[in-house]
Amino acid sequence: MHALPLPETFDRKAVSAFARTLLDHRGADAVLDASGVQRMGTLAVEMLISARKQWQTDGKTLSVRDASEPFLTAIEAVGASVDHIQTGGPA
Amino acid sequence: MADMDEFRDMFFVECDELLEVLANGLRQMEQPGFDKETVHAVFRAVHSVKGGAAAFGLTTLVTFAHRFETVLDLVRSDKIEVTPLIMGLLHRCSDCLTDLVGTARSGQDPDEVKVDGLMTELDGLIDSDGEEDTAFEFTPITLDFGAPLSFDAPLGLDMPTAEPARAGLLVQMAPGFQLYRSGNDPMALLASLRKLGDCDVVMNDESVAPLEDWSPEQPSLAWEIGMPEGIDEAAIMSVFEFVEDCCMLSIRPAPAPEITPAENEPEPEVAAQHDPAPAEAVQTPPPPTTPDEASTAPAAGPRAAAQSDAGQAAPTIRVALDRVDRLMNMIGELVIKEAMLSQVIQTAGMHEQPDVIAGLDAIRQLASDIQESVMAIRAQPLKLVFQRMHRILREAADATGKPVRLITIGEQTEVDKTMIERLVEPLTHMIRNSVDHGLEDTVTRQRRGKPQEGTITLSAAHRSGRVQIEVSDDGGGINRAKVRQIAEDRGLVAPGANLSPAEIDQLLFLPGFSSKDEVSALSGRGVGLDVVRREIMGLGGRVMIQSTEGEGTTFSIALPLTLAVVEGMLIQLGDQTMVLPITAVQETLRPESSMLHGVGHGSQLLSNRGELIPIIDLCASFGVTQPEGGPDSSVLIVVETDSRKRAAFRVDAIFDQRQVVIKSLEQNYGRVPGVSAATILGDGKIALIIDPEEILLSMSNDQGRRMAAMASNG
Repeated sequence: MHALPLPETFDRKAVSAFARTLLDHRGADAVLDASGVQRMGTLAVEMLISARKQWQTDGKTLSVRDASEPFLTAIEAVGASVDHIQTGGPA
Repeated sequence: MADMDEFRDMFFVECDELLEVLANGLRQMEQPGFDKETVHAVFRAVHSVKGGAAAFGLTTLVTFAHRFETVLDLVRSDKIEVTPLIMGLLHRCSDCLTDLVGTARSGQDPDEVKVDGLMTELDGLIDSDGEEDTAFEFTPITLDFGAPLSFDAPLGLDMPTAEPARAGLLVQMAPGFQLYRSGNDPMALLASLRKLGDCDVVMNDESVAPLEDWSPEQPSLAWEIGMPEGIDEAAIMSVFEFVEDCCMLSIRPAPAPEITPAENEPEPEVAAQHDPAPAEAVQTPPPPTTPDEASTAPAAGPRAAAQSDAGQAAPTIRVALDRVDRLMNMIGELVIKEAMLSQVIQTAGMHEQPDVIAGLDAIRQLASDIQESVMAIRAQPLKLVFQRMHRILREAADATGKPVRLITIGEQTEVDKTMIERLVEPLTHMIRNSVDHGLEDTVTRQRRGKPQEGTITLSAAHRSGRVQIEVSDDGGGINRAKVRQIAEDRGLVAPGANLSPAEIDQLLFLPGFSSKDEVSALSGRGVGLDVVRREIMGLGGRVMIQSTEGEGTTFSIALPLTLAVVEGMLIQLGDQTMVLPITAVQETLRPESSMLHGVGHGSQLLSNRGELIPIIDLCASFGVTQPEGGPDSSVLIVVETDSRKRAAFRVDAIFDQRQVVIKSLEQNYGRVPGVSAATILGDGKIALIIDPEEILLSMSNDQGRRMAAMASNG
């Protein structure tokens, strides 16, 4: 399955554009490639949580692969985990 | 708590915008092939109202919005088909939601019967879909005020409560969009808190909407941070020093823990709204809860309003109207002072010095520019009023059983905010009047070859420095014989009086024309069009009627652009200086004797470009003594009023044209016939501002005209 690469600088400015990109892939299982993320803000985490909820509602899976260190650090810094942004995560 | 009141006020302002989106969206949904995004927008609007209402403990509003939202969710997921019947229900729900917001705002009791009735209808739809309406899994959401909301009780909804890990202080934080937009990030705040001590960070994502409804301008993540003992409030506050006005924040002593979560591990959170996760199964941070006396309420200040489209909409701020009014008043005073300065310069004989003239002109231009800028701040599109008329029309159509549609044109036309508010009542009355009296019943329309559905058109446009609003119907037109008969029966006009069709139409504006004998569900309560006219005149405007039998009636309202300043021609009448609004002036001339024709008892007509125009001597109209030299040395000013009537006003002299500040004569003195207001001149004297329309209406001795003038006087 083709993986959608997350922006390298995943800040507030990049969030809206990526949300639109992600919505274009609705209705199908999706994989997010987090390997290239060098910097990520809280709003990006929130958007990914929102995406997980959407995919969950749609009955599709959303998963993250190859999470970079900055990606994981950002997720943990806000008190979340990768499971918050993957379907099948915390229920 | 002042801040709570402020947030509450902001919530209601936000509600107005959301309800507008809702009403707009529902109307779009009536169009064939509407965009699915419209349904999402409608859903989001109701959801946001619900979220904000929950934060303020508005139980009825939340309960109703929840049902409404559930049905909208079924619509957007194509589980309910959009039929005219469903649309009717959605419109009524939208109206009810508007009413509930209104009653919540004013502290009145909602109409429980109406709410219950609609909820039963909504429940019927929810049940028929086979989906059980999951008892509130709902949490208050953050409305984007660009500022903090309160931490309020979650309405007794079945919300799990997070317990702090320790006996230290409990910090609750919910950042608003403004925090992000200002370049801050909660991540950095959390890192700073961690530096203070080993704290437990629990993220709450319950309010985060699925992506299709999510907006970066309405961030919903919130956190509870259990601080270790020994960290005082001041230390915590220092972390939030620069963001406290754009972040919901509460710091309070943590309640004694009953459950100790695993150390320092972020707890798993409750799943998305549709997840069946039992609340008690997991330790879930709640959304921010009760506002605490010890909480650190942020300081009030100007805040950025929500933007509909990030990066595209210009940033806006909300400013209290009285601040703008104060500015407007000061500009008024500036205009007066400028006139006074001009007068002083004239008296001192300096008025021919080029640098003085240039300086004075620059001040005048600047004052004019500032005034226009402030007017632009106060200007609001008529859309705000027009949209409310859809509901009025729907209710009127329901009450009369007449199918009718409303077409709005030019709703982006801007007028002063004061007018927006004061136009609602007269327009409401006019729309009801058009449905009730203007449109024929279905059978009559069919017989006349008209479509069964009547059409009412509400239009607005800027015209010659004024705003023209028209309410037109495609009904039967005014039945003049009947109007005349009613007026005669009620002693409003002498039997057999010689009245032109336009004069008969004017009778509709006479107080007492409407009768309690004709009470219908809508109009005929004894409150007639005279009230409409009075309201409009109170705004410095006019109401006119045009009607064609069998084709329909048009009520036109002409309003000034501002209630504060008018461009006027300063004229001399005897020893009095008066102001004639420039919008009415067509031309000025000193007529040759060949252009003047005598008619009747001392009346004169002006022959001007092949047209005969009645001459009105303003000295006579106002009872001012004519100066020596008499009419021969006078000047004529040709005026045309909003009702397209023309006349030539005879005045003694014209000596200036300038902006004058309008001061209400009615409030400060009393009503004077033929005068709309007053102003203060540069020499400190008061000058009356002439009302040309009224002068024209009262020029005739004809009884009907007198009656019409009386009507116009209110």
